[in-house]
Amino acid sequence: MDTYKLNKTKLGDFLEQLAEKFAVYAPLEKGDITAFAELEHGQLPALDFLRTQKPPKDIFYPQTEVILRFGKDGTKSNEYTGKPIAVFGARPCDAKGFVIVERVFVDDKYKDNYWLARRDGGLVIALGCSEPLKSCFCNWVGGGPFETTGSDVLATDVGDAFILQPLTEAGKKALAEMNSIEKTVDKDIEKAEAIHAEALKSMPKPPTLDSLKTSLDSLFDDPFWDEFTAKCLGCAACTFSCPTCYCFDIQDESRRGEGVRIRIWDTCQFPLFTKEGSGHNPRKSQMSRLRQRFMHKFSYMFETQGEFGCVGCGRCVTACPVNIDVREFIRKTTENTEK
Amino acid sequence: MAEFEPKIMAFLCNWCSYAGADLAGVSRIQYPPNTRVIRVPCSGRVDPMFILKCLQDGYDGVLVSGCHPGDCHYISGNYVARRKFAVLKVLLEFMGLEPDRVQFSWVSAGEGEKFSQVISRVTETVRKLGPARKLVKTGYRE
Amino acid sequence: MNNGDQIKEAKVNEIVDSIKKIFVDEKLDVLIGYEKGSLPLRGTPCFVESADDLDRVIFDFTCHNNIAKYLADEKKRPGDPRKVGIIAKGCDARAIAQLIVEDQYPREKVVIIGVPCTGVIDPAKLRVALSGKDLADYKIEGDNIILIGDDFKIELPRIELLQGGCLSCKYPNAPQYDYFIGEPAKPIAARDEFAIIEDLASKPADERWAYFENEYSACTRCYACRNACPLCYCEECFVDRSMPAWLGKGNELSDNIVYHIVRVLHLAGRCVDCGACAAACPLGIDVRIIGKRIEKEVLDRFGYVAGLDFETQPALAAFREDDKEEFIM
Repeated sequence: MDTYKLNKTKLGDFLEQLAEKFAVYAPLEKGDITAFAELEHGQLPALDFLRTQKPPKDIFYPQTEVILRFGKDGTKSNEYTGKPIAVFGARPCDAKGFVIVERVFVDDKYKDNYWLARRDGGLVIALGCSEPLKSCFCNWVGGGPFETTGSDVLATDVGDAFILQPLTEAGKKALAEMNSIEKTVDKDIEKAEAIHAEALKSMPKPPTLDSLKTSLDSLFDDPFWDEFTAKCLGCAACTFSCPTCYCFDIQDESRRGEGVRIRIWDTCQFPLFTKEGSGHNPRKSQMSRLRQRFMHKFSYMFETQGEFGCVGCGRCVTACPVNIDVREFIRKTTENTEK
Repeated sequence: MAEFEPKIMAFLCNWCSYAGADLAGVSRIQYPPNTRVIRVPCSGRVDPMFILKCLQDGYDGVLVSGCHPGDCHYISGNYVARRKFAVLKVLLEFMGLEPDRVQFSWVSAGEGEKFSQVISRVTETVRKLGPARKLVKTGYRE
Repeated sequence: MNNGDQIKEAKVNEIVDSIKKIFVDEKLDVLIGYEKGSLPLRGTPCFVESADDLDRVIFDFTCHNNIAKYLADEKKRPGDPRKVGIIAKGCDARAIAQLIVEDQYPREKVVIIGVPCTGVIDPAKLRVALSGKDLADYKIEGDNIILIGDDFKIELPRIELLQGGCLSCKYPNAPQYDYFIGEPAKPIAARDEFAIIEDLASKPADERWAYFENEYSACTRCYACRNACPLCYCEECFVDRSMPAWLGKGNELSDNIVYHIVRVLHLAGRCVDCGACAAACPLGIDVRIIGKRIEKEVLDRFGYVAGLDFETQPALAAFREDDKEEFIM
C-alpha cells in the first residue's frame, strides 16, 4: 500500500477533513492530565505526553453508558447514533487494547450492539512511540512501540512530519481521500524504519514469558502473594487505567416512574465484585482480589484468547498509589519458577 | 405565567418540631403548603446524606428542625446534630451552593406560631432563589 | 524562607540500626515502613516481619504514602492484634493517634517510631515537572533539586515538587511517639495552611461551584482517595449500600460531587490533612480542598485539631452546650 507524509503544519487541515466524515477523538490536555476527547473545530491534539491517564477504550466503551431509557412511554434502547469515530493519536498499546476488549464484546455467538454502534465504521490512526518511557513494557507481552495490531493507520513522528502507513482497507481508503498529505519517498520510509528500530532497541530486554502461564497456575497458593499484595489499597486505579480491562456492572436508576439502565465499569478489586446475595464472598481478602487481576491477565486470558490480557502500557504502574508494579510481579513469578 | 412553587423537604423531630407543626395545624394557622414532612425521632437522626439526597432529587430547599438545646428528648441528640449541621452548612456554602437552600431551626412542641413563621420564611427565601439546579441528578439526560 | 541548613534528613543507616534495635527490644510482630520503589524518586510501603529483613527500610522525601492506613487494616486480620511498629511522619502519627482514640487498635500494641519530615514529593508534580519524560538521576543542592534525564537537566526549588499540604504543615514531627529517630524537623511554613481556602472563598459563589464541577467531572470513582485514607476504615462504605442506595454508581456529576462531599463530611474532625487522598488520585483531582475547609471550621468553631493525643474526643463525637448556633434560624 502507498504510504504518505503529513507535514505537521497541515495537521489541522488533516483533522478538519477527517471531521467531515468522522467524530475525531484525540488526546487533549485537561488540567494536569491528558485524556482522549472529541476535537472541537480547529482544536489541535496534545501529542507530547506519551500516554494518557485514562485509556482511550472509553471512546468505544464509556465508563458510564446509558443503555436503556424507560418511562411511562415504554423502554427504548440507547445506542450511539453519532458519526463513525476516528481516533487519532492512540498509541500501539492502546490500539491493541481495542482488539483485546472487542473479543469480549463481539464473537460468533454474541455481538454487543452498544460497543458496535461506536466501533463500527471507525478508524484508528495510531501514533507509534519514538521514545518509549521506562515504565513501558509492551515488548514483554508481544507488542512493541510501533506495533500494528488494532490500527488502521500507523503514524511515525519524523520531526517535521508524520509518516502514515495504512494497514487495513479502511485505513487505505481514508488516506486516499485526504488532501493535506503527499506520497512518501524512499528517504521518508527509511527515516521511519530507523526510528522504529531505535525505539525497540531502547526498551529493556524482556524476560522470557513463555512459561508464565504455567508457572502462575502452579503458584496460585504460593505464600509470595501475601507479601506482594500486602500494600494494595483495593482501589480501582489500576483497572480503570487499563486498556484491556472490560468488566462492567449494570445498574438501574429511576425516579418517579422513569429512569435509565446504565452500564458502568466495574472492578475485580472491589469486594462487592464477588459478594453473593447470601453475604458470602469467595474473594474476601484483598490478596485474593489482586491475585485474581494478575491471574486473569496473565493466565486465564492467555487461555481464552491465546495471548496475555496485558498490552504493557505501564499505566497501572504509574497510577498505583502504592507503587505495586506489574513488572516486578512478572519478574518475581518468572524467578520463582526458575528456582 | 405561573409563579414558581418551590418544593421543600422538612425533617422534623418527633418530640418537638413535629408536635409544633401539629399544633400549628390544630390552631388553624395558615402557612404555605410547599413543604413535605419527614418525621424523625430526633434531629440527631438526620444524616447529612438525607439532605444531599433531597437536593439531588430536585428539592429546592431542605429544613431540619429539632428541639431547643437542653430540651432534647434523648438528652444530647440535638447538640451533636448542631455540630454536624454547622459543618455541612459551611461546606455547602463554601462550594457555592446557595446557603438559604439548607436551613436549620429549633421549634418546640408549643411553638405552633413559630413553626408557621419558619415555614413561611423558608418558602419565600427559596422561592426567590428559584428552582434548584446545582446538585440535581439529571438522569443522564442529554 | 530558607531552611536549607535546617534540613537534617535522618541518614539511611541511622534509621535501620535504630529500627533493628526497636524491633528486637519491643518484640515487634511486624514493622510497617517504606522501601525503595520501582519508579524514580518513589518510596513504597513495606512490611517487615523479621529483624534480618530490615535492611531494605528507608525513610526520605520519597516516602509520601500514609502508612497508618495499614494499622487500620491490621485490625481486620483474624486473631489477636499483632505488635506493630510504624515509621511515622507527623501526619502518619496523628492518624495513628486518631485511630487509637477511635478504638481501632490497642495503644499498647502500637510502637510509633517518629521520623523528621521535611516534606514529601508529590508524584503528580514530578510527572508534570518532567513533562512526562523519564528521570535518570537527581541531585539536591541547597534548596534546589536538579532532575536529570537522558537529554535534559531541570533545576527547581525542592519545595515545588512537594505535596501541597507539606508547604503549610504544622506538625512535621509525630506529636506522640514511642521513639524518635533524628532531629525534629522545622515546619517548612511556606504558606498559610488555609490560604487556598480563603482565596477560593473570596470568589463569587457560581465561580466556586463551576470550579468544583470542573474538578469532579473528571472523577472516575476509583475510590483511591478513600482507600488511601487511614481514617476511612468502615467495613461497608456508604457508596456500596443498596436499599437504600445513597449514591448512583455511575459518573453522573451530581453523584461524583456528593461522593466527595460525604467523604469529607465523614472525615470531619478526624482528617489530619496528610494529603494521601490527593496523592492517590490517578487523575490529579484536588480532593483535599473541601476537607481543608471543614478542617478550618472544626478548628475555628470547636478549637479541635485531630490526632494530637490519645485522649481528646473527636470534635464531631462531642459537644458543648454553648456551641455557636448563629446559622440556626
